[in-house]
Amino acid sequence: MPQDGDVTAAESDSAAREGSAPLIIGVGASAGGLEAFQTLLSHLPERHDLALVLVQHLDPDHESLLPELLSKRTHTPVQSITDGMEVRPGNIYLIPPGSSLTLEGDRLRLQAFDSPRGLRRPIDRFLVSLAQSAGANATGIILSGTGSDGAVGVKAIKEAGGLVFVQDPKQAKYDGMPRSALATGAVDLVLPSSEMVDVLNDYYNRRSGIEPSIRNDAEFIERVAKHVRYRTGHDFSHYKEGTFLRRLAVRMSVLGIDTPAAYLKELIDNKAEAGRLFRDLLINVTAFFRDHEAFEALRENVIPKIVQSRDRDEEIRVWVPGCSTGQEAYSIAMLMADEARRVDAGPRIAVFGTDIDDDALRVARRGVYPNAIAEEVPAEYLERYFRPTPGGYEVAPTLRDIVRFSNQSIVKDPPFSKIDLVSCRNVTIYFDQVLQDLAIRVFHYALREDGFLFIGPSENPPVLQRYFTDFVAGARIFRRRAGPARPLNLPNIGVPTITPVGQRDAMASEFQQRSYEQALLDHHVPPYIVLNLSNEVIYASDGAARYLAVKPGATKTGVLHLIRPELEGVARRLVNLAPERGERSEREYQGEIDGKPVRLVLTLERLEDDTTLLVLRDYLDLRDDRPGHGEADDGGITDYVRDLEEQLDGARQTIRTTVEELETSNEELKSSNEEMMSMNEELQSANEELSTINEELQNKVAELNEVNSDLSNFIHSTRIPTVFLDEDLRLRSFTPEAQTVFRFVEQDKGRRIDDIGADIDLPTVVRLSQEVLATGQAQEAELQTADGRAEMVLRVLPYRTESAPVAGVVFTLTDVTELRAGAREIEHQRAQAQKNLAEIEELYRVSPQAMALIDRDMRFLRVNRRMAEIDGVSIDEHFGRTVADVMPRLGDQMAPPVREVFERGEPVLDRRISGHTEAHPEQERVWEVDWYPIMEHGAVRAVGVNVRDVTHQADMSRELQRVMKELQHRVKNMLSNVLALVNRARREATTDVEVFETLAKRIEALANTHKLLTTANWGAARIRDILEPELSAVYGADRVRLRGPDLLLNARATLSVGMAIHELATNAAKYGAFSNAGGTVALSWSRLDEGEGEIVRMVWEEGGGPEVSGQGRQGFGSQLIVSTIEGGLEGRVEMDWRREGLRCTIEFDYDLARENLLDVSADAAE
Amino acid sequence: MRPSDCALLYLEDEIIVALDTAQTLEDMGFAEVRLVHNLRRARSEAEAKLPDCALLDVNIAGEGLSIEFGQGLMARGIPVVFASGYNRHEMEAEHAGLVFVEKPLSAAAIADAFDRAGLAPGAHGQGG
Repeated sequence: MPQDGDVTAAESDSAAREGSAPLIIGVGASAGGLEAFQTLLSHLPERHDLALVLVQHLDPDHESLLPELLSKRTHTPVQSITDGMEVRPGNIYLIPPGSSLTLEGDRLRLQAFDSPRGLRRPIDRFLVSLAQSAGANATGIILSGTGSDGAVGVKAIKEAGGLVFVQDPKQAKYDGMPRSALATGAVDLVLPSSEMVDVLNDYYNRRSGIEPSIRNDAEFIERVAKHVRYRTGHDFSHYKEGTFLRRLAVRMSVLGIDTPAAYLKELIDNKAEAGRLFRDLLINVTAFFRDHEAFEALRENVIPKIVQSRDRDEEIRVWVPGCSTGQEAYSIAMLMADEARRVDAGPRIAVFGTDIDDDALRVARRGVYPNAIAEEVPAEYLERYFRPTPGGYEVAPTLRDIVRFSNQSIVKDPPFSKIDLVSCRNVTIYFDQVLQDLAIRVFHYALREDGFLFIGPSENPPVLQRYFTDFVAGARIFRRRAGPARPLNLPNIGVPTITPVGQRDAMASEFQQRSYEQALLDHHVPPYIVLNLSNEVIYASDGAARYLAVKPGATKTGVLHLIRPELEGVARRLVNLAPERGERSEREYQGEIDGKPVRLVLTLERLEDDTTLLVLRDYLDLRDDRPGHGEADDGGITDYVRDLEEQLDGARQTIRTTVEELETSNEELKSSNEEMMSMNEELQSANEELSTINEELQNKVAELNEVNSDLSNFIHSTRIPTVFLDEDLRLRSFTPEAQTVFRFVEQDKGRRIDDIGADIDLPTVVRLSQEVLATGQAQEAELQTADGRAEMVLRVLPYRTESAPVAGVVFTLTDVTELRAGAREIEHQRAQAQKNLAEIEELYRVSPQAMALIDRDMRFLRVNRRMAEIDGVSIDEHFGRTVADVMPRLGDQMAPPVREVFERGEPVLDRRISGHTEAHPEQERVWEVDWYPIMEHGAVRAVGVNVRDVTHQADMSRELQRVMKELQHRVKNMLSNVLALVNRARREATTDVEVFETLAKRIEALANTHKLLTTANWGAARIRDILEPELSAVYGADRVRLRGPDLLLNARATLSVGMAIHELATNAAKYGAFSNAGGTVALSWSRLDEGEGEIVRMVWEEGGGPEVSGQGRQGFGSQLIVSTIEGGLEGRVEMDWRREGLRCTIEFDYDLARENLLDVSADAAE
Repeated sequence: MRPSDCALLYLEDEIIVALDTAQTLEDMGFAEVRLVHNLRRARSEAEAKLPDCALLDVNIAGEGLSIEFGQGLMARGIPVVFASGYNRHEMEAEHAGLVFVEKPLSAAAIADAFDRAGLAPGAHGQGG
């Protein structure tokens, strides 16, 4: 804050420097500032004389990119400020982060901030120092930003005669700072940032021409002042000419007007211009406790004196003329209130703040100030007398009630009266000598005897010493000199003394003090009457009674009313010519009273106690001795005329006194009226405030109702048991659901929670609640219900209100029984799945089978080591590659089954494929492959492949076949040799030819059967193929009937059955059905199950042969049959030698006859 | 041509089988059975006088297969039957166009084979 008086110093200073000093433009911006800066700077011409200092709210912890960003937009060099840097024209200076910037002379100074972040106002700080240093050459520009930084600064600049621009709030990205600046009324122009540079140049060019041209144009100034008086009612003709000129020049430049005539025209045409000029002239920087030392002196020396001189029911009256936006008035009110509070029995305090600027008064009445006042108002006062609001501070009601604001001119309107303290700082500095003198006289008039005057340091009009004496010299505190106030333009006459009625009796009693005096008075002195100042009778002696008479009508106590009518004229003259104190005057009366001639001398004496003694002496006998006796008749008339004239004079005097009294009281009434107006204003604004508050409250109530209803619906609808407790853990509220856990009813509200039964662990609830109350931290725990059936999560949270951080607790209970069970189940499943997966992985890893998983695109999803070995490609290289890619030579065989599985969803098993792989390119391999579907949600997700390398088995099998073939070959050759030898022997035999024949046939049969089996690799033979060569082929189809199902028999059964049938046929040929021409054999076979497993039964029935006589022979043939079937095949043979022919039944186990059976269907079918 | 008119060349290295079979062939009615025991003799015998038909054992110890020789005879229009201990069907599948008879031989099997080889049937019927 600049010191008092700096303003004028700066003005005169700057006036001298004008023209040569650089034009310094302080530009302040915050949020959204970069864009505004850029627009502003991009309009700078390539060459110019302006020095721009940009102040931005920068994050102190980050390097600013601003210099770089801005230098792209302008040719003007952009400098980042260092401490002590000189300001030169044609440069742009940028504030660095984390520093406070001021201008000292022409040098920029950087300092660390002395206020915490959030309270820093770098723009204000710089602009104020700019106003001090550059005066009228200073320009302040406020661009986009939030908050109110810059508002104080632009006022300082305006006060110093500088120019203030503000970015159009509609254009600004954030309009907080522009609007705050506008609210000060100190703004010359509101512009978009793009136009500022042009207007600025134009302004300076114009201004340098205007000032000289109007400086000596007295007529112009007078006409302007006259016009302002006409429009606003305020006369500025006595304002300091320098100030007036400067403001005028600024207005003209801003308006783009060059000539006085044009400005006069503007003043006349545009009604608002007079108001603008008026506002500019009134610009006054004010602050709380501006000049702390002076206020400190006031607090120490003056305030206690005033406060202590008054009783509790009396009033202290303070007048703050020119109070502007109220800071000074509030400052003094705070000092007064604080002192009154300190002495504990303070009188009432009234502070009257007056100003002629209605806008400023509006601000004062609102009593809302920006955060910046925290730097001006001591912390304890701030806390006691202010309330924080979102944007700053609001004057508290206790303080607000003390201060009354009204529109009143110091020099025009009648002043207040009986004032104890007048504080008028830096108001009269704008006044010329005449006005200043008048102001001092007004203060003298308004103050009580010994009242105090508190003024600014540069206010020192010559008359001051005549009316005031120094009280605290350094602090500019003065005391009113004693003596009546000089009339201003109105007489000031003392208030007439009116004796209160009650005092009369007291006075009367004084006259009845002593008995001798009384006796003397009653009997020996002439009649007398005692009158008071109003000439009312307050005592009459005994003898005086005959000169007094009560007149009809309302009784009056005035002596002229009570005295006998005859004496009234004389008495009136006496009374009207009232003598001075201690003097006497006499009048004589000659005439008749009650028909008797009397000669009375009336003596009137003014006594020391201001009472008047009227003595009546009867001088009838001394008649001739009296002087003036001879003039009785003539002299009587002359005397009477003179008396009348004197009487007239008296009347005139009375009238004048009355008029003066009336005028005085009129003045008083005016003053009171002013006060009443002030108060009315107050009441009206209080009323407005109250209506606003009422409206707000109504809205709040509506909102609250809504919220309440939401809340109540929520509470009734929520399914979560929720309980609200107060600080003592008493039940405040609960949701209906809570009754499932706690046994409370509505009436339990207010009881302690642990007094009420519950199904859960109450001590834990209480313990956690107490912890929450103590720490304010939410708590959580798990509980079980008493029956252990449900698990619950208890969450306890602090119940917060605006007034208390923890005013209770809220807790909720959440049933997590199912959740926990579910979680456990899931965990179990997961572990199981993990285990299964691990098993599968392990299986995959160790399986001797090659395994793979293939997706629909024929890509490998998974392969195991064996598979990788077969493919000759590492496991990793399989992933994502297709079958054809990994095994190009086998893809054709692998792919179709995969597609088939995907299409049909059924496995393809045991299919052989063969070919070459990368692993064994030189050898053909054979594999047996299974393809099986991996199902997921009813669809085939992938195809699993199991591959078994059967190359070795195939080789073995081939080798085995070769060996077997060779063996068959050799066996046959051997049989050939044996048969050849038998044939040889038979051919050469002369006896036993038949024996050889039989032997040869048997060997042939054996060989045939053997052949049959070799056809099927000793695997199996069809039963019909065994029988036909032995029977139909030898004995003719007409003699043999074969009947039975197609059966396959293994090698063992084939040999046995073949041998048995051969023997039966041989026997039949020798002795039975084949031994004659007509015999037949029927051979039937069937599979049947008689309860001991499936068997094959063959029945041989001969017929038409020679008659059988008795039991057949047990020859070698029969033995061979029995031993080959029963021994070789574990079967049974039954021979029935019937007369018509042999019936032989052969049975053997079907399963035994099919062991190791190979499928020969393909070969044997031929 | 009937077997009774046929001079048959019979190649068999197993002496005992050869003698018995030669007897059987004579019993079957072949006009002449010229028995040889090795391929070399068989070739020279065939050079000396071409037979009307031939029964050739396939595996000749020490000399290998008689197939090529037999095919040479067949190329000259002579019916040839090959005898082998191997499975007849396999052999015939392996050597297309040749007629095989499986050992041990019997008259019936030989007659059947010569039938298939193109020799007129019936002439050797009584030998079975």
